[in-house]
Amino acid sequence: MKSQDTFDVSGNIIRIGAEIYGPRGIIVASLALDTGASTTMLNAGILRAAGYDPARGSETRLITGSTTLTARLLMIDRLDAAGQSVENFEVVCHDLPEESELDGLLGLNFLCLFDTEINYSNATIVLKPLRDA
Amino acid sequence: MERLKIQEIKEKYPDEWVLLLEPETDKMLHIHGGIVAVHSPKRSDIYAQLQHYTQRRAVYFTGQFGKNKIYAL
Repeated sequence: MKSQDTFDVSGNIIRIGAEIYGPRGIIVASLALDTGASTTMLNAGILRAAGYDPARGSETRLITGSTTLTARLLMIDRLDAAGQSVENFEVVCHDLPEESELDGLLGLNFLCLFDTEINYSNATIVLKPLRDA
Repeated sequence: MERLKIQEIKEKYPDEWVLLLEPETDKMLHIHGGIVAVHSPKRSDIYAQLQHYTQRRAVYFTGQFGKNKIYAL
């Protein structure tokens, strides 16, 4: 089903509320919508608190704007964001700087499951599941 | 610990990270209130405390998001 979220146009990025489901419960966090991130990224502290062990993830290469490093890919039980829910979802564990004021990035592996519209004229994001298209 | 609206939390704990229990959210997961269990200027303090709870909880930064910052993520 189509969903519509709103964002604060005074901010300089689009911040999305998200729920991370894990063996140790549900955590509500803030992610930045990032079409430049191929995979959704979560800070290690959020993943650990939700009951995941980043060290048990599979190794991957993470290319950032300034460097390439080794990171861990993990499968989480469920991620909810922008009115949509995805189960058995792959995320990469990497800490954004504390100054980012973010818990992670909502990347293309989430957004690609939907037709996504970002409308600055009314500060909305519309996600329509591809299976409904 | 008392339940507060998000504006009250922002006024009481300006420019801090807070761990909220029983967070009140809307369908889009925007936070409207909750019970402040922990507050700190440091995000790492909040993440450390998050592990001690299993009920639904939230991490929230009370400052003005992105103030005087440019993001290139």
